[in-house]
Amino acid sequence: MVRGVVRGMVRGAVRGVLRGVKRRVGGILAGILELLREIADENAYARHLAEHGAAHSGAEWRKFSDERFRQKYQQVKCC
Amino acid sequence: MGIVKRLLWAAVACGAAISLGAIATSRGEQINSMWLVIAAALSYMLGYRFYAKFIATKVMMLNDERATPAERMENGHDYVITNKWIVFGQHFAAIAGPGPLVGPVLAAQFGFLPGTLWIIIGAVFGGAVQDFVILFASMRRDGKSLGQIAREEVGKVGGIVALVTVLLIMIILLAVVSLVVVNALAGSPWGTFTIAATMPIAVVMGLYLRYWRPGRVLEISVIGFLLVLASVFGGQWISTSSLAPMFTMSAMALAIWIIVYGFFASALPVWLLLAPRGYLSTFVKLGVIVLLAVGILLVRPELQMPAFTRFIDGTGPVFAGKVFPFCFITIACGAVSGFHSLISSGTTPKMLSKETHATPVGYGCMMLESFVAIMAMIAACVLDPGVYFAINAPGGVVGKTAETAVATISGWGFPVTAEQMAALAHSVGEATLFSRTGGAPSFAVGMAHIFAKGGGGDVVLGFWYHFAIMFEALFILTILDSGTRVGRFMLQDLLGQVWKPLGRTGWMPGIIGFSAAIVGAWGYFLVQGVRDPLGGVNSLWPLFGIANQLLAGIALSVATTIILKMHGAKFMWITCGPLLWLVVVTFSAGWQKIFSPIPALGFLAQANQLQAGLDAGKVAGAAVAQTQAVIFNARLDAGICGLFMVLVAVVLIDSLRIWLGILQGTRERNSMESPFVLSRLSGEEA
Repeated sequence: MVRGVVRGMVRGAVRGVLRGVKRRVGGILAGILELLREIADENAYARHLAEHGAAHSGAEWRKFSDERFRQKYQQVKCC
Repeated sequence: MGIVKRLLWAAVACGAAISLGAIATSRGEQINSMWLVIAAALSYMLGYRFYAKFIATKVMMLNDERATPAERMENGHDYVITNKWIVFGQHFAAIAGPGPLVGPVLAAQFGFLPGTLWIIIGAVFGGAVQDFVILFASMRRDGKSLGQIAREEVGKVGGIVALVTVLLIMIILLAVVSLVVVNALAGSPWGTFTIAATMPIAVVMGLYLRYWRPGRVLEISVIGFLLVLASVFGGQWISTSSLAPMFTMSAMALAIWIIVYGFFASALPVWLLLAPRGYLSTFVKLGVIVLLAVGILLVRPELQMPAFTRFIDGTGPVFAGKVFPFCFITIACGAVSGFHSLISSGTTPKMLSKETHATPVGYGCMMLESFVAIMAMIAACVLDPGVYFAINAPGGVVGKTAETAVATISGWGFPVTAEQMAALAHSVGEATLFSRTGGAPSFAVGMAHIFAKGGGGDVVLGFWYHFAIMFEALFILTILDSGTRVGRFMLQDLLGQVWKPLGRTGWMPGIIGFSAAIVGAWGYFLVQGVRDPLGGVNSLWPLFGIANQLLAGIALSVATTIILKMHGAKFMWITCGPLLWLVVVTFSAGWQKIFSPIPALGFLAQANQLQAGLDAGKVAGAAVAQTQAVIFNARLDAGICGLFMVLVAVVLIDSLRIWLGILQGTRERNSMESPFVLSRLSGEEA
């Protein structure tokens, strides 16, 4: 019986740690994906749609990207 | 700080001291690259925890109660409240270019120690401080640019000089990075095919994004990356097929192709080539940097290069000049980069949601950039020194044949054999690796060695070598397209002040004319570099390094003026110290590049020596015109170097006038900071 309790406690502790690790790794991966979406301007496009109350379409993307690229490629890129 | 934390930081400080001591005192024995990694990482931790925190709290007095431009002026376009780690990633992607990869590789000719120490110390006390203070200054001034801040805080002269200096630096930068690509691809059908394939791939990506699947940037970037990988494999097949001669080009032919490409890439609509290539190169760049860090940590290679080589005396074959001052201007971006001040006063300050985020973004990103430079230094120093010099020494110095090259290099005390070089060239799929100057090929060989040791052995050496070349060329070409474009805007901005229509960026004759002017300017220096008997890198990289460090001088002058206006003389040493060092380094390097009597070092001495040869009738036939061109170019380089120094001296004197006025109490400390507005985000997590 004692062995069962100990086993249960160990199992619970391991599960707790694994849940924590999973949450952490999940958080890191979500953060990386967010960064990639930001670099890819996908988040900026989502903000643009929300701000203008517009739905996604080819014409809307072209309108957004023309302005975005105009701003982006007026900036110096570093060496 | 609790006792446990104090003990932990004491342990970090001891670790940093021990590892720095270990690399500084190692003589005559190989050391493991992990010593460099640990020394750098622990020094950055200390710099960030103590020095950056001191600057943030005592000097800048960062205050999260104060609304940032992103909050006050949010418009959904450039002023956008953004998570700090996303700003960190964006800022790092913008500041990390080929500089921290190429500079340390070239500086490895002095041995691993001088460059490594400067990368660490220069970044902690100079480069990161400059980036941080300029980011802070811009954030407190509605996200204004360095030129605007200079104009407001120092005076009109400073603003205009900053603009002219940036334009000139850009031209030299574009020339030297193109030269790196040319030298990496000359005579290499595998590499040339891979890079040529990236152009139609980028166009397909552009069309896909615009018409077929609009807005799916990550999706098409993954497809683009797979296509680029396929082109690396395709290049291997091309190099052994009957198509190989079509992709085997001389340096001059490649230079002409790159000039033509630069013109079209900068004049074509951005969405077609520039933007998709930009996305692809950013993802590949970040991925490769992470991969290289993991590779070094897993493989932990031994450094083959000694701490110091005999070339600290200035007789180096990669570039001429003594360890002081040329190690410092060669490392450039890995320790201090004037160009970063343009990014720190560009989009980044408009995205920070809280003032305290300026510390990880401004100071922290430079730490990471510096770490990239350490990795490049490791990639160069894991090579056998004989191999390193065989790759990086120009034919004009070591001789045109394999036999003369190995005899010369072995004579310097770095044994290498023709068979060893032939085997290495064969394993990476190249005809030869002798005199592949510019830093990119030796970096690629070093990186390929590390990856191959991580798994796959010599079988995968060729793939990783060409993957590394593709990675470097990809983002160098992105800099070329966007740099030419930005250069055109700058030129139009300058000339628009003379006659307004010239400033209209959408005017087609203007697009064609100014693109041609900028491409013509860097193309001229590129051709000059290709023709240079000493390999081009010998003259162009120091010129770029001097210019870049002088721009850092301008940024640090502006930063000092701002700190002086905030606190008087109390904290001005923070930016004045690195400024003083940079002025001494760059002006002495500039002086030597112009006036040194050694022809390999001094532009004028080189011109005079060649002129004397011409006058004595030692040059005959077709070589006369070529020699005259080299003489003209050496004098032109001297003139440009002198111009850089004069321009920066003007800003320094202008700043000094302001500083003396403030210190003597004859001038008001009227800072141009935006007024305080209470933030609604101060209690929130971001």
